[in-house]
Parts: sequence; structure tokens; C-alpha cells
Amino acid sequence: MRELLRSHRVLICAGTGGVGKTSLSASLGVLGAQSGLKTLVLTIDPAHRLAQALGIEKKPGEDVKVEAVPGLSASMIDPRREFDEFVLGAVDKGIAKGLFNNRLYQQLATNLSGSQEFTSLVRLMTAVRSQHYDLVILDTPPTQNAVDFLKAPERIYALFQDTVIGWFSNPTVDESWFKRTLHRGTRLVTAALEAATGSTFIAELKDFFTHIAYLKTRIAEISRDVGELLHSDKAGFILVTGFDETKLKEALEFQQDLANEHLNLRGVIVNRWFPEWAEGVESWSGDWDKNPDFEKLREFYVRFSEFFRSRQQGFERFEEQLSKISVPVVKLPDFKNSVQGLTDLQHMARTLEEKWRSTL
Amino acid sequence: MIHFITGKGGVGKSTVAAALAWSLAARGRRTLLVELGERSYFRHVFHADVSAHPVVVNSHLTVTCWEGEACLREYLRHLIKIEKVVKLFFDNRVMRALVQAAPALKELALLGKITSGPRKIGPALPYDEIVVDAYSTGHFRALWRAPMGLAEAIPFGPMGEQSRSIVQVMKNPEQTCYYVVMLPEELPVSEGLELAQDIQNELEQSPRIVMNRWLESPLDLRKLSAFRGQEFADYLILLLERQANADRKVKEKGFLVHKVLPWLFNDSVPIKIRELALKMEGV
Repeated sequence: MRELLRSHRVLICAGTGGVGKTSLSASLGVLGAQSGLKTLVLTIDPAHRLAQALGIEKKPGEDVKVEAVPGLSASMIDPRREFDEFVLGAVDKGIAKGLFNNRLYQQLATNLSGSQEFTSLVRLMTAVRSQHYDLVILDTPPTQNAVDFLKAPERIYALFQDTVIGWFSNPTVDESWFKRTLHRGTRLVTAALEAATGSTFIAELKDFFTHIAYLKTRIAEISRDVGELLHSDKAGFILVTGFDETKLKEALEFQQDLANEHLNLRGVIVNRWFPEWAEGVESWSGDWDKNPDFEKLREFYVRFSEFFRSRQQGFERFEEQLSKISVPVVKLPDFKNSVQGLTDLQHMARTLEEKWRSTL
Repeated sequence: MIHFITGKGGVGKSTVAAALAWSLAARGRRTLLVELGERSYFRHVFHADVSAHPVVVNSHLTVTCWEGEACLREYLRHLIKIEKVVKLFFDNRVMRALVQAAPALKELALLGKITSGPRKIGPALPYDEIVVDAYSTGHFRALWRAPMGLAEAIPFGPMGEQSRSIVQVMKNPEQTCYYVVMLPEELPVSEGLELAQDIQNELEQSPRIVMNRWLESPLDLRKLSAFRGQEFADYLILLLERQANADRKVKEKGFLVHKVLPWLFNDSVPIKIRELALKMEGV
């Protein structure tokens, strides 16, 4: 595990929502710092108590040193602020102001699927470039599918294709816009768009594209740099998944998607899959069986154990398929305490390291 | 009735949505179960090629997967009525990119289609109930805020009108209802409750809280405490305490737990759906 951390500059924890990506990213961060690396954990929507434990709760957007763990910093990504800062860094004030006032921009920067992912990547780039850190761990925003995250930059980039911008951003807007569309023989198309949306929407859209055109170069740069970084040997993905046969199928698809994009999968973590006790040996103290409720408890225990055994079998079916690729598949227990405090994180980090070692 | 099922990621939204749909269908209601997104999850569950084209699962239950661009296309077809123009529109490279990226357009198209019945737009959908396996918290907020934001931002023209009528349907308790699914654990409850409050404030409807994966223990906390120190008993105590906390928190925020669904000792989603459907009577 430590070797993996040392040989990377960027690790990205990806997976569907609710599988514990944030806790996992944070405990990877703890391990990184313990390995002597200056480590930054970037997270997007941490649970309240976890944010509190890391000390980032009241400082969105800032890098905060985690006092209890030397070498570890953490930061909460604030997509709106990040997007605004990106705009301010890319264009001059007047244009930025025009964009901030555009109603569609207001929707885009906060609500649109894709903008969170985009800002995460911008933030990642800034952190890597700052040279302050040996390792940056990115906790990805929750997506319906793990692959959505990868497609997001592409979607945003689609906005900045020459053709789209050219369509809307001509300074002598009205006339030339229509002339050009006429020229392309797509007048019907614009009519269709207008019929569907109305002229006020089109006006707002035009305004949006006029302003956003100025961002084009910077966006292209970022997209290119992010692409280069993520495809390099120094960047790797960790897939975090939960237990459920369908979830595991999604994990297999994700692995395929990464392979198609020539990105590096470095490990699969099946999180919260057994309660800690289920991995232990059955142990009953002699006195308990005198309690009249003992039989009930034991029956229940047997039922639980059978359930987890069948889970184990389901996992073995999955493992066979995963064996096609040579990355560690680590199963983490459902810890007694939901992982939110620093002690919990350290416990998780320790377990992760142990389990990782045993898969090699 | 349109049923939106939401909640924090990983709480079992899809299973609960499918169970509700299954149960409505079993009661003789013609039911459509709708997934949102490009990739169907239910195709693994029903072993069918679930896509925009509805797949019939049983006599009353149909499953489909809707994606923004396809919905927009359908809407345009309805509006323009000339297939050739619609085709031209979507074959146009610029338009494709625009539809992919333009803020809120896809969200609007999705909601437009979901609410098309009550708004009497397009061909009537032959269903009594539509159950939407909606996005998890953050994305779901973005979904309903799209028409709200647009209705405000673009007050005139068809876009504004459509947005307003969508919002109207989403606020009407006779036409839509919301379910926030939770697990009796700290984060799913707190995130779920925040969402429930936003639904109440912005959509002006009180969502139904569904508590999923509830442990029915043969021994209560008092009896279990005699076994403290034994790992398994400690685990049960922990779960029961989490459940009590979840219950308390929901009440503190002024909500009622509408339905409690038991923890089924089974990982097979199709089996879970059928068993939970039996518990859904009266929902």
C-alpha cells in the first residue's frame, strides 16, 4: 500500500454514492502522511463530523493542515467558488462579471451535472501544480455511475467546441447568426430550437456563449493537462464499491471503462462488506448459555452468519471475473463506529494496509 | 400518480422504487417504473434490455430507462411534428453539443416527459402510476431546481411556460408524491432529512420517509445488554441504538416514518424486490 502511495502523485477514489468514498480517501490520506509523504485530500461533500474531525468544516476551498496527523492536509471543494475563481483567473473582470450575471451560468456553475466533476479536476490540477504536495488524493463527487465522472470533462468541453461558440458568439449577433445558419442550410434547426425554448431563452443562451467563448483557451488547456496527468503512470484510480451483486457488476463495467480510456486502475476496495464480528471466530462464554435468551441470540447469530456466508460465495463468483486483471481486491469490514473521527480513520487506515498486504 | 423515490446514495432507492412499483402493479394498477440515466441498473435485475423502449415485466408492470437527450427529441417531435426536421436538428453537430452541455435542458426534458400525463402533452401514457427511481440527494435537487430556476430566469416563451407547468404538477399532491429513503444510520438520516426539508420548502409537499433495512431483533436492547462483551451481541446493540437514534432524529425534525422496511437476509435484488413489495401494501 505504502509503495503504491509513494509511486503516485495522484490517486482518485471513484465509485457510486454511499459506498464510503470520502472516509476511504481520508484514510488513504492518513496512510500517505504516515508514509512520510506530504499529502492532500480533496473532498467534495464530506459528512459533517468527518469535516469537523479534519478541521475543514468552516473553511471551504482552503487547504487545511490536519493537526493530529503530521504531513496531512485536507480541503473541501466548493464547486461554485472554484468555478468562479477559474473564470476570474481566465478572463478579465468585465467579462467575468457579465458571465456571473448570466442566469444560465448561475445554473451551470452549481447545478449542472458535470460542473462538480469539472471543478474537482480543476482543483486537482491546481493542487498538483502548486508543488506543495507529494501526493494528492481526490474523492470524486457522487455519480449515478462511476463512469459519469470520467465523461464529465468531455461534456463540459463540448460547450467550447469551435462550432458551438461560433454559432452564438459573433459580436454582430442577430444578423450574422441567422445568415450563417442560413448559409449552412440549418435554418429549420434554429427554428426548431426557438420553437422549443422561446426567444428569451435563446437570447440568454447567446449571452452565455458570448461570454464563455473567452474561457475557451483556458478550458482547452485544462482538459489537455488533466488528460495528460490522469493518463500518466503517476496517476491511478481506486474503485470503491459496496457489496451487492449488482454493484459488483457495475464495478466490472467501471474497470472496463477505465481500460477503454487507457487509465490505470490500481485497486478495488469492497467497503463495509462484513461486520467486524463476522470475520472473527465464534466465541461464547460459558455462563451465557444459562440465560434463557441465549438460544434466541444463538439462532439469530446462525442466521446472520449464513447470510454472510452466502455473501462470501457471491463475492467469490465476482472475484473470478476480477482475476482477469491484476489489481488487489480488498474487502473492508463494516466498522463498529461509522468512520468519522480521526481515531476511526486511523483504524480504517491500519486495516486497509493489513488487508492490502494480504492480497499481494 | 407520479412517485419520486430519492435519498442518499446507497440506501436502496432502486430496490425500494422497484418494490413500490411491483406492489402497485400487484394491486392491479398499470404501473411504469422509470429509471433516469444512460445506463440501466434494472437490466441486471429484470434480465431484460431496459431502454427508452418500455419492457413489459408482468401484466401490469413495465420498466423503462429515460435519458435527457432522447426525451428532448421526443418533445421536439411532438412540438414540430415533422420527423425530418427533428432528425435534422439532432444530426446537427452544433445542436448535439448544445444539448449535451446547455444548462438545465436535459433535466427539463426529463421532467417534462415524466409529467406529460397530467399536463396533457403528447400521446397519453397508458399508466395509472409512474414510479421514478430518481437521483440521489444532490442530483435530485438539481433536477427539480432546473424548471424552477428556468421559470424564474426565462419567464416568457415556451420554455418558461413548460417550466411553470412542470413545477405546478410537481407541487400538486394529487399528482405527485415524494419518498425519501433512509437507512437507520447517521449519514443517510441526516442527509435524507435535509433533503426532506428542502422538498417541503421548495416543492411544498411533505415527503414520505421510508426507513429501509431495519433490523428486527428477537431480543430488545434491555435483554441484549445481558450479553454485553460478546461481539455479536455488541453488534446488535449498536444497530438497535442506531435505529433508535434514527427514529428520534426523524421525529425531532417534525417528520413521520411512513414505512419501515425490514432487513432481508438476502443479497439477491429480485428476491428483495418481491419481498419488500409485500410490505408496501397501503403505500
